[in-house]
Amino acid sequence: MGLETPLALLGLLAAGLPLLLHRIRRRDLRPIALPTFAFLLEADRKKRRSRGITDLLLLMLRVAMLAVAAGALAAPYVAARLSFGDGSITSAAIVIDDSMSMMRLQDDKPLLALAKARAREAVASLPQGSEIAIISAGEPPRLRLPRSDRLEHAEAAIEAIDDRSLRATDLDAALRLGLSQLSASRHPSRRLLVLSDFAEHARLSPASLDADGIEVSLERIGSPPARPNLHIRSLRALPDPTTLGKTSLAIEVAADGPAKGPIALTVENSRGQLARQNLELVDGQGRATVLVETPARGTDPTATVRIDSDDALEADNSAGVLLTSGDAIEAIFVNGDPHPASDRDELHYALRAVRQAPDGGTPVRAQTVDADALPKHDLSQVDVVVLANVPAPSTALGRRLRSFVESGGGLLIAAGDRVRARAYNAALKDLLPCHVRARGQNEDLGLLPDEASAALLPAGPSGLSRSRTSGRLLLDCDGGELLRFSDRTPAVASRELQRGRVTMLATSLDADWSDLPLRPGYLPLLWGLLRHSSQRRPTRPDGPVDAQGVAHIPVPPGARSLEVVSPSGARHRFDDLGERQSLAFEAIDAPGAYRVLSASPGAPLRDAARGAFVVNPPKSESDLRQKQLPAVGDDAESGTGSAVVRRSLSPYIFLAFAALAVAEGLLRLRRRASTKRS
Amino acid sequence: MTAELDQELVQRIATLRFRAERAVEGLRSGVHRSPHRGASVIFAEHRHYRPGDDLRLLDWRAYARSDRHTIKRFEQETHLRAHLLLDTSASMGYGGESAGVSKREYAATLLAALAYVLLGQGDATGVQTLDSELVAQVPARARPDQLEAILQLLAAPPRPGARTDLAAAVGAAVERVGRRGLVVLASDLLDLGPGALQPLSRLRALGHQLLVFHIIDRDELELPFQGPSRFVDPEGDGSLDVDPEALRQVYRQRIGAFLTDCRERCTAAGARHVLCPTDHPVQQVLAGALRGRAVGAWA
Repeated sequence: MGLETPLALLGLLAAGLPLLLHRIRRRDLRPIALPTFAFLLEADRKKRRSRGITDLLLLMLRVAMLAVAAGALAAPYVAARLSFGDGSITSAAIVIDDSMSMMRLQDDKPLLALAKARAREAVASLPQGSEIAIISAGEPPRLRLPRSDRLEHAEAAIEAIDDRSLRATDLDAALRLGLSQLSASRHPSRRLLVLSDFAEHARLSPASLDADGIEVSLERIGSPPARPNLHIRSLRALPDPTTLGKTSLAIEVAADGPAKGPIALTVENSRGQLARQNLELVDGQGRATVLVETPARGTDPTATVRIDSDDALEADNSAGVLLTSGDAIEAIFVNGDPHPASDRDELHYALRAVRQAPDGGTPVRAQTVDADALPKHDLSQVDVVVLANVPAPSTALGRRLRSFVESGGGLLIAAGDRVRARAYNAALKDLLPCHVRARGQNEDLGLLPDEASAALLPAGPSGLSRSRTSGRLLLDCDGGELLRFSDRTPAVASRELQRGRVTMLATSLDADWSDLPLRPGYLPLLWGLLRHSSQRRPTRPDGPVDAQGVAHIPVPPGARSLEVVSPSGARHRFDDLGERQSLAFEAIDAPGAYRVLSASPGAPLRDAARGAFVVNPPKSESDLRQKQLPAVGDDAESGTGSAVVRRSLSPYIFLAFAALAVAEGLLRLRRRASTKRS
Repeated sequence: MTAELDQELVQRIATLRFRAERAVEGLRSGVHRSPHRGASVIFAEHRHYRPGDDLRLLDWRAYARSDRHTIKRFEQETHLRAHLLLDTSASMGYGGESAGVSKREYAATLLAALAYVLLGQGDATGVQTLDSELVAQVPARARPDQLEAILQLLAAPPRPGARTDLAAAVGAAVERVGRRGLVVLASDLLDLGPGALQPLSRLRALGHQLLVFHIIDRDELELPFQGPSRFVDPEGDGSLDVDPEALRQVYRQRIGAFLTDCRERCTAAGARHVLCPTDHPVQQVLAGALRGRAVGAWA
């Protein structure tokens, strides 16, 4: 602290002026010999308590006002070391790492909160007229505040950064964003401040720091973690082939440092704790397999696996998993020619084929019903109805199937002895992709996959061309053929009907009309037929959440309301869905499994067949080891400015003077009012 | 005050007649009633004759009518002995601008006027001046030159810086009061301590008539001074620098309480308290005091 004009302190002598005036005024008082002096003395004693304090305060205020005025004239200042910049008008960009690793606690505060506080401090160091841009570096990097000279907006932009994050780190992209903001800045002084924990996973290449004319400062937030960090490296749920009704969870746990002792794993969902198991880590890794009950259809299909450990980062200690595949195609096979426990059963081969989940493909969850039971079956949770050698349905069932298809369902019709051309044409006239002309017999045809078959079959040889078909339906199609027999007649045809699709296989699913079930191509063909009918595309392995953290939840056909239950238990309800096919859900607030319940009109909420999804933290964020910072000028590590500036205290002193003057005036008014009352 | 009374004042008070409300003892016949029944023109009562009664008082006519010895009683009118006490302490020297005279001058004028009235109707009248003690006195007499002696004493200058000690001074004065009569005290009562009026109470018990003229200046009542001033105690060394405006309300409350206290204590002592602001005309105050007494309004 110093003074610009120390001589002005001589003005402090004026502070004695009120005291001097007080003394002079007392000396000039005229004496009055009052006989009732004793009463005056009494009155004075009585009033002295309040009036004396007021008078003393007034005197002190006047002395203080003169002293403060003299102090202001002396122009005092304080020498301040700036936390950012050199005190000159600057164009600055601040990159704040808001990835998941910044949720690590240090002194009971998340690193992200410390980074935001540091950013506010840096903004406060900038003089008026400077420009500021705020960027958050969690993947994908986002421009929170485009370059602006409204420094007060920076506070709001910093505050708007969510304290919870499931994002990975992309410092390179964030730096590019910051540098692009500074490239067209108005001021010659340009600075970029990066606030991050700079963990090993942070993508930061030295090339990103090359910026001509821009001073880049890297500031590490937080010290190295005191404890190793445990996380669930992988988690898979598979139907256990050895135990009916059980699902095995394969859990892999890893630590980024030497972790000691066994750790406890807990598996739980809305029904409570499903399993608990201890796991011994060897070299920072451990694997466990836990068997849990496979949830029944329409119940909570999710589970959360949690590591019970007090480690460095809590956010990655849990992971969600779907105990039943959320991508599975819900198919109902209508058996038109049942022969229980016999290879003559119409579905003998088809059901065995769908139980074999293809690698990386969409699984099928199949159930069978007889043709008589189909009219009573609830189709709201069904993706595909397979009519396997089923006699022509009644008019009412035909209308119901049409409604099912129009609302997004799939219908697969496979031929057989019981499929009568005339009856089918009559009952399903508006549904069939082709007109059924007649039944062809005693033929010997192979299948001829071509370019159109790509919608059904994977690339490469399928062996279908060597299959032999002795029976088939002769179809007259106006397009939509996906597979042909060797005589170029349609073997598989398909048509769209509003939101749904109808597919027709001209031969049977069993071995009565062809040897297809005995061919290796049968399995991919059947899978292709089901997938094509259900219009399912392979889903992303990380669920329906996009890069912006928004989940696009498919709305089941006919659903009128939807409820999403987050891992924290929070429920989000959506009504009046209308004809929407998907719902954008933005309230992703925690890692884990999200349940989706849907209800059709008049029906209670049930877990939607394909609604549940999982949001797991990015694995890379669990590695909290700190990386060596690349050299950036002389202040690479600390990144702090060292400029010292003089900040004048005169405005504050004049403010104090004004406050004192107001107080003096108020006190004088109060004293005058009190005197008048006397 | 001068040794001669203002002629206008003399004319005004000449019409006043003081008549004691209660009987006083006197050796001379006068206009005042006496508790002794005897020779007088005013019939009082009849009573049975008892041996030893003056036979001259037998009512022969009543005896002739009733054949009983009956004594006829008359009220006896006697002369009054009046003792006028003047407080001459330093506090009585104050004179405000509104009055134009000091409290002591005012009190002296008031007592002189009263003496004139009393002497004019043949009552023996004396004066005593006092501050912390009895200073001087003119014994009560009814001689023709008594008024001049009284006026000379009243006009005598006070002892400078004399403090008030009412208890001691009044006590010394009343020791010189003889038979039952009238005792008048003119003072500002500023030293009205707990025992200050005890001598008066004793006089009252002996049957004396007591009258207290409470002399006070308008300045003392209202504290009208403007601006910061230095107030000093005329009977002491104390001083106070103060803005009187700030204290006026509290001061007036205090002085009001003092006046009330004076009135109550005088009444308790059997004296009539007459407040005499010095800006009120003397004759008006005196007339009020005498008329009030005449209709029995005091005591």
